[in-house]
Amino acid sequence: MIARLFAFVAVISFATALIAGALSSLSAGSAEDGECSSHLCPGYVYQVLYDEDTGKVSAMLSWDPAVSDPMKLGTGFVPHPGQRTAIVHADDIADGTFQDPATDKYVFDASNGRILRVGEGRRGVEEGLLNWLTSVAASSAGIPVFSFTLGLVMSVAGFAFRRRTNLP
Amino acid sequence: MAGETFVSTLCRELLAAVGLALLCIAFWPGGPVSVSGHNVTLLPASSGHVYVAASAEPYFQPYSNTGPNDKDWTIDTRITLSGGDNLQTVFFDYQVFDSDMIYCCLVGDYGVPVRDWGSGRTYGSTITTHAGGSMAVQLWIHNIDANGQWFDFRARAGYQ
Repeated sequence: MIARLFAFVAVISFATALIAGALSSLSAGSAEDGECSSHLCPGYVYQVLYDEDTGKVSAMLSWDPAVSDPMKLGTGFVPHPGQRTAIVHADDIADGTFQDPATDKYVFDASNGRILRVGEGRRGVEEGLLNWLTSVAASSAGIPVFSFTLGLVMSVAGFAFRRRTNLP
Repeated sequence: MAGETFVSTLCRELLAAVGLALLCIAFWPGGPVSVSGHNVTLLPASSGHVYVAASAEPYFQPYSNTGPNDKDWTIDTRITLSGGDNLQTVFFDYQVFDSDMIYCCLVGDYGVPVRDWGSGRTYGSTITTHAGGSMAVQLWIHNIDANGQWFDFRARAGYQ
């Protein structure tokens, strides 16, 4: 009975992972079309305007270089005294971190990729990774990943239970 | 029609479709700029998205030090609220500069305060001006809302 319960939960989890994965991949397609302004999009480039002392980001430009490159036509942000700009490629912050070579500071994408923050050193790296994990968990990819992991755990647990109780 | 074959019908339909497509391209927003029937040389559009944090007021330049010198310019700039909380209070301004002027290089200005800016609504205008030197376009967005917000922008410049 318990082994069947494990199997049932595993099957449901795998099915949920499959459906949620398919749905999130569909929504990811539409995000590339129109929602890249509010999410971190692969291939996009971001110019970040931030405070030199506090690292607080006050503005960002983002664009798809395949469509238009405003940095080739213009200069992008005009920083006030005490402000700096950094160019960040989305692909470079896929792991949650990016190091601005000009300032040696780390630029992070925070929850849902909408706001970048700038920190320094080891503490900043850990903070950035934590933010990244939080954003992944909160994103649409979190459900299929969680369901798949649950299915995997239930399968292993069911198999172990059967072995232990010598069930066929 | 007598004597009409499948191939001829297909070709006719294809021609009609191509003609319709060309018409759509010609009248599509952001397409060729027409100024009083004169020929305008268009530059590539400068477009993208801009995020402005709460209370921030950044300047950015979609076109900088753009030539040739001594030309009549037509610059069309549009900004649209993009996603977020779908309601923002913002001041925005876009200005055209002439690098050749000594005392004041501002040659075009369009600004408007927008209260309760709803998502999807576009603001902007077309400025026609002369620049003796190179031309630059600068956008200023002052987000006086309590939340940060994304905007889509598109600038298109042409000269004659």
